Amino acid sequence: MSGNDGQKLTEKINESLSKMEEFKRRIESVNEEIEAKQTEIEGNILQIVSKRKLSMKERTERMIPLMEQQDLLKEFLEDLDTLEEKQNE
Amino acid sequence: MENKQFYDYQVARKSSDIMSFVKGRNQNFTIEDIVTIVFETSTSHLPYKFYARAVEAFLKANKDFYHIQGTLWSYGSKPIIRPTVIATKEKTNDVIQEITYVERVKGYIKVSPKLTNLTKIRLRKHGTLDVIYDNCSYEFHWKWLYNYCYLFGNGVMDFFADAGIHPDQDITFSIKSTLIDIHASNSYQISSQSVPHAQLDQIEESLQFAKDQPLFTILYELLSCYPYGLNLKEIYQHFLEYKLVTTHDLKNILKQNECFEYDVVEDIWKLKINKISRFYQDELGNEVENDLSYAWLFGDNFQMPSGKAIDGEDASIVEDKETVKESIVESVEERVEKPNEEPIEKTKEESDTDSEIEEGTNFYIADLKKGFVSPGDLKKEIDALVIECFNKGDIQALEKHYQDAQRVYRYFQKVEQFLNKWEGKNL
Repeated sequence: MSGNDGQKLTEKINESLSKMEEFKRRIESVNEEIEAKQTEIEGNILQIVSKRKLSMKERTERMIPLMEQQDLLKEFLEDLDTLEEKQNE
Repeated sequence: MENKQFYDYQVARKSSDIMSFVKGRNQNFTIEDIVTIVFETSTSHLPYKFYARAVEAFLKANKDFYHIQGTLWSYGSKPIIRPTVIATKEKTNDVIQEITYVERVKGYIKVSPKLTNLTKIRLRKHGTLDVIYDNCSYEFHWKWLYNYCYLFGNGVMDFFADAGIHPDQDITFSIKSTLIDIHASNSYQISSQSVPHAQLDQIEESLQFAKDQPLFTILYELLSCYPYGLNLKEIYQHFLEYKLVTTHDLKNILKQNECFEYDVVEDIWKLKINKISRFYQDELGNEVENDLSYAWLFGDNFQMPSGKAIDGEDASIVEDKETVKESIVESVEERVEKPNEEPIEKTKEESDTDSEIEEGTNFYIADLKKGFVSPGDLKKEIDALVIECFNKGDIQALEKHYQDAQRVYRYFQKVEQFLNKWEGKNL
C-alpha cells in the first residue's frame, strides 16, 4: 500500500471542498446584492406613491411590476437560505 | 429601513387594498377605518399610530382622496375648499387673483401685473414655475402674448380640479423666498346666470380648434357655453358642428364623468364647472388623461413646451436681467432650462429597475453558475479515484474522505436542483 495511491483522491476532495466554500461565499455575495436591490425597489415604490401627479391607474401600473419583482426576489432569497441551511445539516 | 419608511412602504404595498376598501365602502371613511380594517391593527396597539401617519401621508399624496373635515375623508368626491391660511412669520407677498369663468373652463390664468412684478415671470417670455397647493407641487407654464402674461398647462388645470375651483373664486399667490404657494378662498358665488356673454363667446370661438380635441373636452366646453344646460338632442346637434359623434358615445361620456349633471325634471344636462378635470372616462369607459392644448390662445402653430423654447423662440429676456436686483423668486427653479425634469416621466432609477425586472433573476443565476460544480461530473471523477484507491488497497484514504465526498456531492446536488428550478422560472 502506498500513500500516493490516495493522493489523487485527497487532492480531488480538497479541491471540491474548496469549490464548495467558494460557492457559499458567492451565495453570500448574491444575498447581499439582492437585499440591496430590494431596498432600492422599496425606495422606488415609495417614490411612486408620493407622486401626486400620477393617477391611481398610473400609480398601480408602475407599482405592480416592482412588487412582482420584489416577490420574485424574496422567493429567490428564501430558496437560497434553504440551500445553505440544508448544507449545514 | 427607518421606522417611518417601513410603515410608508407597508402602506404603499397595500395601496390597492386601501383603494378596494374605500371603493367598496362607498361612503366617507376615516384613517382609523383603514388602519383597523386593512392593516388589522387596533388603536390600542403600538404600530397603530405609525400606520395612521403613513396612511395620512398616502391619502394626502393621492389626488383621488379628499380631506372633508375633522377625521373624515372621501374618495373621488368634491373637496372642501380651505380658507386662506394666514402667513407664517416669514415675510410673504400676497397677490389675490379672481379666476374667471373662461379661465376655469379652459385651464389658464391671465396674470395680474402685480404677480409678474413679484416673480421672475417678467424676466422671460416663457418659462415654468412650481407652485405649491396643499403640500403638492403643480407645474405652471407662463407665456407672454403682447402685453399680457398667461399661466397655463396641465398643472394649472390639475390645480383647478384638485382645489375644486369655481368661477369667480379668489385664489391667493403667496410668494415667499423661493416658493410660491397658492391658497383658494372659500368666497365665490355659484350662479349660472351671471356669466358675461363675452366670456361665453370666447369659449365658443375657441371651439374652432376643437377638431383635434377629445370628445370629452369638446363636450364640457360646449356645455360651458350654455350655463342653463342643454338636452341630449341639442347637445348632439351642436356637437356635430365640431366633430362627428354618436348619441350613444355622448351619453356614455355624460353619464361617466362627474362634471356633467343631469336634471331629471328639465331633462337637460348641465356642466359642473368646478369638477372639470383632465382625468376622465371616455366613451368606452377607459380612464384617460387629457393633455390640454392652447392653440386657441397662442395660435395654430403653438406646441406645448417640452422643456425647450416655445414655438421655436429663444428664451429671450423681456427686461435686462442685470437691472433686476435679486428677485425674491430668483432661485425658483426654471424647468425650461432643465428639460429632463418632467415629473410624470419615470426616474432613472425606475427605468433601471424596469430593465432589471425584464431580466428577472437571470443575472443572479448566471453569477451563481460561474462557481457551480456539476454533481454528476464530480461523482464520476471521485468514483474513478475511489476505484483506483480500492484496487490498490488504500482503504485508509477511502475511509478518510468518504464523508467529505458525500457532503460535497449532496451540496452541489441541491444547488443543481435550485438552479434548474430558477432557470425554468426564467424561461
